[in-house]
Amino acid sequence: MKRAWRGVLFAVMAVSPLLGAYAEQPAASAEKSKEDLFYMEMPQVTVASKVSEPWITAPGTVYVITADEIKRYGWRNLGDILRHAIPNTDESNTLNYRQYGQRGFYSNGSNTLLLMDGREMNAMSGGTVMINNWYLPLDIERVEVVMGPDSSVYGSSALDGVINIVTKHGRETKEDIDTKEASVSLGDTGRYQYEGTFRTNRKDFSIGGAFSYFTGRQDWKDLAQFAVDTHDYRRSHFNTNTKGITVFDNDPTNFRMEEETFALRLNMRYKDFYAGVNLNKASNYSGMEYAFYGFQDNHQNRDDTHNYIGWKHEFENSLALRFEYQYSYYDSKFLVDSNDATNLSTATSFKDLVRTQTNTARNEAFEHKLLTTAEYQLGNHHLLAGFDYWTRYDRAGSLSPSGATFPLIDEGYMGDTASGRLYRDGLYAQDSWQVTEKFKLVAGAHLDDERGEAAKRFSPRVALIWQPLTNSVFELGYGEGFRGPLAGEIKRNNAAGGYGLEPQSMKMYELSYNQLFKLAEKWSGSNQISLYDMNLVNRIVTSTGVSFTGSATQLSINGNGIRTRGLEDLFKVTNGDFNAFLGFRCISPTREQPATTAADSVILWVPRMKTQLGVSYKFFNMVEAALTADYWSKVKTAANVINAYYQPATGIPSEMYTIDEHWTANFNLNLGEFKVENATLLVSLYVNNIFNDHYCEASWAGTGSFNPIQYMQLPRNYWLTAKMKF
Amino acid sequence: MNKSSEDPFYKRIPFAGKFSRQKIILILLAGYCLFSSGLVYSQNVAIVSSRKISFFADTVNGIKKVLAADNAGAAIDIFYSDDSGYLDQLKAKKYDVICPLGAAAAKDVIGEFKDVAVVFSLVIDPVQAKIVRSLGPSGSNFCGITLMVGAKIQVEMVKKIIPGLKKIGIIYEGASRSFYDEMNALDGLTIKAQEVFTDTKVPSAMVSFNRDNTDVFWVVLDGDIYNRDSLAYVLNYSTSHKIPTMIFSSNMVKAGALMSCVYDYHDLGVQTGEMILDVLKGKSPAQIPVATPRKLGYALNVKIAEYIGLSIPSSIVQSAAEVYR
Repeated sequence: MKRAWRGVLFAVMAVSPLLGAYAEQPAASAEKSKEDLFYMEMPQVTVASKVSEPWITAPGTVYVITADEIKRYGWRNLGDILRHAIPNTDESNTLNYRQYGQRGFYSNGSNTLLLMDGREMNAMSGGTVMINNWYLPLDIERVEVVMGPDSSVYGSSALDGVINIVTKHGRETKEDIDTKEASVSLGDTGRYQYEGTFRTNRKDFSIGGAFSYFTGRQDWKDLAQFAVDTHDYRRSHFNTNTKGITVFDNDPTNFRMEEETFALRLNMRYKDFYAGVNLNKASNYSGMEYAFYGFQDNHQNRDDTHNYIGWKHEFENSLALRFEYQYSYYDSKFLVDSNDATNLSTATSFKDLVRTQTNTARNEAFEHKLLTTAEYQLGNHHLLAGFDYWTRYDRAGSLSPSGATFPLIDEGYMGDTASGRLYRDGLYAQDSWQVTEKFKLVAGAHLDDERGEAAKRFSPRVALIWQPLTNSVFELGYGEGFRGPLAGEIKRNNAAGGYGLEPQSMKMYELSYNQLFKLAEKWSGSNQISLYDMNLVNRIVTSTGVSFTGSATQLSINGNGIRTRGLEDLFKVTNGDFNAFLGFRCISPTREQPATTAADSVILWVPRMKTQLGVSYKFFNMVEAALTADYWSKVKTAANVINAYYQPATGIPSEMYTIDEHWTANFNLNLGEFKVENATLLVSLYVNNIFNDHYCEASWAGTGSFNPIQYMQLPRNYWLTAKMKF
Repeated sequence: MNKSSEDPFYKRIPFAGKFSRQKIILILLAGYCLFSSGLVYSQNVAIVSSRKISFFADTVNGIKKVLAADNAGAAIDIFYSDDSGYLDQLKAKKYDVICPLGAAAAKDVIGEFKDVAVVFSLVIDPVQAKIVRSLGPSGSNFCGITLMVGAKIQVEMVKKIIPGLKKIGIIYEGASRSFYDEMNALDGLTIKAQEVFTDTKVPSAMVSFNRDNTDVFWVVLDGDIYNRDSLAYVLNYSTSHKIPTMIFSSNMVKAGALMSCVYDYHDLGVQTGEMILDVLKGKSPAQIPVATPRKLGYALNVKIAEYIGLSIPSSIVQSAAEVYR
């Protein structure tokens, strides 16, 4: 801890000479303030109901995190943003592909819908929301998050919630339209992050683009050592832990994780026409799995490309129409490597350890979507309707041992030889009715047809919004969400006669209160409180080991409801120089994981209470220091589930533990903005986990899928960023 | 006899007899192209923009269009007042006219250059910004165009939307007092005003306005009392109480106000370019009064109009510069 404070002190001292220079700059003139007001735009959100509206009266609980907040607190990727700024989120997996959920629900196949500028970005294999390094902060204008199901306008996957990343390169506003920014970041363990974004607009034509590149060779020796020391819930290679159970042993010197991620975005508009592409590429060698599984690792390559072209027109009679066609392509190569461990002492890279690839798998998916939307204002009714057509063709293959190529040996997926093609039609309508001055009623529904692969799904939503005062809003809502079966989940038991899989679905009742307030002169803020009851049915969980070509039952359907109630709150206050937020959640799962029952599956594997605090202060109108602190209450977790994979006869899970409550803190220092030629330079220092606390939470949610750790706090690490705005 | 020597066309041009008509036309065209391509510009103009936004870009394009169309031509360099060292760059080259866009650039340039003609534009209130003492001729090396439009013109525009306009509600403070006074002096209007001193007092002042005592609520451009929070309050309040709002910018119309005046930024550029041309051709900037925009349009939110039960003539909606639905 002393080392951390020394580092911070040094950083402050290093920049102190700059403070005086900046303090001499004149304050903004009254005219400048008037101009700022003249060109200012009011913030709106679109994620809640696909129409632009103020967040305070948007149906449901909607959180908005702005680019200013991201810069202020130094969050480095979408994972940081969601973890620290949203009061009721959860995530699984650890350092590479973080997978995300809300209000205690999450899984490897995520049930949250991730949008970028309103377009779905969930990975097509498994529907996973990958929140880590594909979405870096420079291009993010704001992040809008809907808590709870919202399938009434979005259809499938909006089960736990919806995230919409509004980008700078794709913005449609006139404010700061000619933007060029670039940044480079350097972190511990060889992490580099390069980003760029631009948008330029002329009368009828505009173009924007962004790129990001992340590379890291994250040899977290401290973390590996920690994993070894905490025998209670580690899974190592063939050893006996303190509970007397045979688990795997682990050599901390072997802990490696390498990652390379690239993203490219492009968006063009000419009058009413627009087109664009979002491309993501990632390559991972995940040493976390290596640390816990001995001589094996995940080596994954993923390509994910989304192309779109569309037309949007606003007619003079209050009618707006949009047609959009999307084509997406996904390709993942999954290698389960092994080695003979002969070079453990000399290896400098995790890749050096790999000797043979005992199994490989490849999954390709092609997806076509046709989306239509119509908006119409009829008196006090704002009507929204649309029809979506969606089809996807999945194919997967496995090959052992691996070669240079990955021939697709099975058109179909995971043993289903009939077809890998899915279809879905969706028809939806919504009325946002301003009933009286103070009451608004939002009602809508989505009807989805899986073309015989699954039952038709009807997802309604009703929200009554009462605004007794202009700055206070009460909402009472009911909503449903669902996630249609993925290619690997349909026709699961064809051999036994087959059945249409009932989709996972969520029902939610919610009461929320949103308020804008003034505390005193120059002090203002907002508060959002939500009380909810959520009920998940037909949860799909893994119950036995996964084999890509296995004929055994691979998924089990938990038909019983998984119900939770919760309370969450997000409080923000500012006076311009001082900013703070306080997030809080308390959830009440109705069941916990039985220690030895396989069939009941995992329900909630998350801390019941979480608190997030952020405080920042801007000195001399230049240097801004920010501190964020997170608290998790104790949590029960399972361990050694991997035994079930290798020793199915013993039953799963084998152990259950309680991890103590935990808290961690991060620090960010923005060293002001300096003029450098024709650009503005911002330098910032981010210290992650300044007190170097360890936190490890094991999971069995990914039994057999090589994801034993849900969340792990990295050892203290530093992150230096230089950002240029041209 | 050479045919060309009898041709009146050739008689007007020295040495014309040595060339065919086609060759002369080609030479003149080449000269024109050379001239217009900027290689032989005789005059230099610098444009300094305070903001990198589309409105300013449209204005720059308008200026370029006018200067390019003039036979004399002028070399144009673009600067941004956010960039450090731009004043040094301006000093390093001899400019005949410097054209700052926006208040920040105008204050910088006028403060720094006393012997170069300055034509400013896109300045909202040059008097309050202490760029000029009045809107008359400056008597110095600068002139320009303000975005400030008188209350009378704006009221006339509102009357086309609300023909029976009699009662106007307004919240103001010191900086916007002059606009209130100007409006108060107009005949046939009753002004219901609330004076406040900070943005935090806006909500409590706002509750005194209702549909009975206010035909339109006027949101003045005053950064001391209006910010995102107080504007959100005003827009929510006026909509829920079905009070039409006249506001200062189209961005706020998009956010929920009923209407605003909007400028044609390209035409503002053309207007600015014409003023620059006058100066380049010898007119003294000291003699030119501050001009106002010659084209004004409407920004309308028809969704709000429908909600508050106001019928806007379709001809106005069709001719509006910006319509939000």
